[in-house]
Formats: sequence, C-alpha cells, structure tokens
Amino acid sequence: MFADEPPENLVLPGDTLPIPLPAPTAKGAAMKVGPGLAHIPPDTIIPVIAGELNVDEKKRMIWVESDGKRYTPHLHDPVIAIINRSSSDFYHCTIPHSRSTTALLPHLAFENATKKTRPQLNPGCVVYARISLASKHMDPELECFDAATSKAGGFGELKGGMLFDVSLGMARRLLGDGKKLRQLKIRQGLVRAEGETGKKVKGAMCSGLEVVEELGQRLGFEIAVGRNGKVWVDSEDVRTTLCCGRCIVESEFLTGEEQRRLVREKIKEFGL
Amino acid sequence: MAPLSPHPTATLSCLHRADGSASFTHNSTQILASVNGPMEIRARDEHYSKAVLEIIIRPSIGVATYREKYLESRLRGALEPIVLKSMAPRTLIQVVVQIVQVGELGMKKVGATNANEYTPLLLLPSLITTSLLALLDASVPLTSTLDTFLVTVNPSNTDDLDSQIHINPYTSPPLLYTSTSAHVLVYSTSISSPPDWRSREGPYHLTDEAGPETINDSPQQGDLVFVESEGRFSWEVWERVEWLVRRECMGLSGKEDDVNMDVDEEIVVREGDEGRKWGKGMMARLVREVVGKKVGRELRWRK
Repeated sequence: MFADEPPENLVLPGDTLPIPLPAPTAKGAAMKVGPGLAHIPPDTIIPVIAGELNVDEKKRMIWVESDGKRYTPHLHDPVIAIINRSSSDFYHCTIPHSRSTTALLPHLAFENATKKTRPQLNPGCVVYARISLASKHMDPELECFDAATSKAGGFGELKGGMLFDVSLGMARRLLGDGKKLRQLKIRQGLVRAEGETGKKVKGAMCSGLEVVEELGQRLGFEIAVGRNGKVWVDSEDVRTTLCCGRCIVESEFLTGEEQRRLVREKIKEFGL
Repeated sequence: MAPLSPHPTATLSCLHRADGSASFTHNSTQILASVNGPMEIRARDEHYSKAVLEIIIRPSIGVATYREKYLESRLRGALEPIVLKSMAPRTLIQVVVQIVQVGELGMKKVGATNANEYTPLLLLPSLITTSLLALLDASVPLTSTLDTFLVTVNPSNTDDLDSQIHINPYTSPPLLYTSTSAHVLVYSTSISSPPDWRSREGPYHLTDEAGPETINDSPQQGDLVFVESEGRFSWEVWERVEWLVRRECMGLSGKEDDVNMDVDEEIVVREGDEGRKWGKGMMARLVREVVGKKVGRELRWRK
C-alpha cells in the first residue's frame, strides 16, 4: 500500500479555482459548469464540494470529480430502480440511494407498449431505466425505452441476478467515465497513453474497468450498472454471479493491476 | 498518561452505511459524526425551497439533556451559514454527532469556583470540525470550509495582554481550567460564497432572485461566521482576541512583529498566499489534509 496523495487540483468548498477557466472560443460562447461548482453572478465560480477539479478546454466544461453515496437524479442517467406498486398509468418505483424515495415509470414507457400490451411488473421487480425528467423540486420520472427510436436499447426489467452496492464514483467508472477521463488527460498531456499491446506503461492512467475486462475474459456474465450506485449481475449459476459481484464491490479502491490480481484470486477462491 | 499533543487527527468514511462520516481524536477527546442526506423528509418538516438541517448530539454517557440541546443550537449556528440548502429543496440533511469520550476538554465551567458548574464550550471546536469533515465526506454542497479556534485568557500570569491570550491551548489543560474567559471563533475560509438567496424567506424572495446584490449577505473570505464567549472579559480583550485569531487564521504567526498595530489596520497578506489567504489555522489545515487524503484514495484506481 502506498500513501494516498491528494490530487494536484484538489479543491475544497469555497476555494479559488487552481486552474484558469477555459477561454471563450467565440464571443458569447457558452461554458458548461458541471457538478460540484456554483456560479456567482457575474463571473465567479466556486467549488461547493471537495474533489478534483477538471477542465475540458475543447468542450468548454469544468467540473469537480468526486465520490459520494447519495445519488441526485440527472436527465438521461441510467439507473436501477425497484418497482413499489402499480397505479392506473404508472409504476411507482424506488431509486435506491436517491434523495427522493419515489419515481414514476409510465406503463407506456416500454418498447412496443400499448394500452393493451403493457409489461406486467410486480412489486419488487428490478428495472433498468433512464431518467426522463429530473428537477430538484419534483420527483423524477423514468422510461425504459428510447423515445426517439422507441427501441428498448438495453433498458427494461432485469430478471434474476443479484444487486450489489458500489459508490457513485465507481458506478460512473463502470459506465465508462474513467475511459473518457483518461482520453481527456492524455490529450492534456497529464498522463501517458497506454501502449498498443495493453502492457502497463509507467505514468499511464487506468480506466477503472480492469476488473470487468478481466472478469469478461474468464467468466460469462451479464451486467447492468445504474448511476445510483447499484450493479446488477446475472450469469448461469449463482457462484459466478456472486464472484463477479464481489470482485466489483471489492475493487473500489484498487489500482488496475490490483484489480486484475483480485479477480484471479477470487476465481480461484470460488473454484470456477 | 500519554503526553498531550497539540495536533488532532481525523479519519473519514469510518461508518460505511452513512453517506459521510468522520472520526476526530485529540488527546483523549474523541468525537464521531455521521451525515446522511439530502434525503427524504417527513412531509410536515419539509421546506418548499430548501433542505432542512437536522443536528443531533449524543453524549458519551446517558441521554441527551439541555446541555446537548445547547450544543446542538451552537453547532447549528456554525454550520447553517455554510450549507447550501437551496441545492436540495424539500429534503433532510441529518448530522448526528456522537461524543465518544470527552477527555481533557472536560466540561468544567470557565472561571467557575464551584466544581459542579459545567460548560460544553471547550468541546465546540472539536464538534464543529468533526461535523464539517463529515459534511465534506458526504459531498453535501457547502459554500465554504471553516477554521475553528479555541482561545483562553489567563490574566493571572502577566500584565501583557498578548501573553494572556492562548490560541488553541490544547497541550495545557490548566490553561483551559484556570482561564477567566474562553472564546470559540470560527472563520470562513471561502474566497467568496454564493448567496443562498433562493432559500431566503419572506416577501423579498422574488426580488432576491432578480439580482446579485445580495451576495454580500453570505460568508465571505475571512468572515467571522460564529463566535461564542464565556467568562468575564472586557471589550478590549475580546477585540485583541479576535485580531490575534484573525492573524493566526491567515497564517501570520507574528505576535512579535507589529504588536502595536492598530486593531482596525488592514492586515497585509504574505506574498504567494494571495490564492488562499485564509484557513491557516490548525483545524483548517487538518480538514485540508484529511480531505485531500480521502480524495486521493478515491482516485487510486487511476494508478
């Protein structure tokens, strides 16, 4: 174990931003102020949570990368929700780890759903859904299909399997945010690009997906990750499911190399 | 008995079921705080435009009494100005602080002759810092961090006012017990804080949303957010205490240099410190160090 060094651009609430804001590309060009920052009119931006400050000059975005356990619904986020009850037009769901207890999932927000053929979901069913309405003043609404194409696109009921809890940062990583961040850092010259062969290069940044990649090479399983910090895993037998879930939960604070080692050890331990 | 240390230690995320938690140890004083939220609130407690901050203090022994209620109200006074409650309307942010062990910051009343007179004042800096750490760990939106100071005044030793004033006298319990007055001062370390104007009550609600004129109402850099004093002291003593602590908070140690400086005179900031002028006190440095480690741990997957 090595000491956990604070990141270079650590910010605490109320700090001065350690890096300059991205310069405007054109007059009147918009800038995206992401999570963890507050804008004080006219031109002050301060962090409101503790974390690592990131700037993307190209997309003109600025945000604070931080971990947490309490989920705040945002538009288009994929989440794992649990059905509570059904009323005439809606399923009333719970989004675990969310700030509000109830979310509405319309009966017609499924692929090929009509008044006559709508999916029958019972209380306790687990659904993979996307947030279609998010406001801090209102309960969120969910949908299980893409409104543009009316295809399910992977959303819908999750049958069987098991649910595991991870932190919000880990969930974002599993959904590919780590990879995006790595691309950004490579572009900014902060980390070195990984070699073509996949061999570990000194100074390279991991994507945080090593655990899933390693599991995928050795076991067959299905996985769905909700941004609310829930991971659903299913496979042919319970032992594989448990092994995958345990690996993901325990790899939270491990480096890429340690994650791969953990997977190898766990598979041996489970006798798979 | 172990030697008393001037430096407190803290760990974050020690309770894994809570959204955020912090444990604070200083000599034999130990405090544990947990934060949950923003989360669902009972309908009758909710506020239509802001989160409700609930603060619960539990004593180390027995059930909570008026003393804990008093501490809760004081702790609220320090935390309420920095929590951005408008970010999560109609929710609850719950701060639970468990006093595990009181230790040398015992509850003896400052300047009391009767041993049965108690005060919880000396515990306040630890309580404030622990709950601030837990709030930061839970990623609850805050406008600023806090720098907390405990000051005692012991006039018996000397006539010189500056040597009577002891900032953070944790290594020396006699200084805590023999003082004639004790003061807790909390400074905001923010550069400038956004106004929580969306949560402002009353008829000004709509006009407030219109413009940024109200920014000055929220704690700015180096604002004295909270103060609590106890014992007998004169106005001059209090002013001197405030001035000395303000210097300490800005990292200017010099009682020696310009002692005769006027209280109202502007304090010049050292070169290179322009970025973050405030928060050089013991508690603020602890907060920055502990939170930095926690964020570093969260980013470990990148290695």
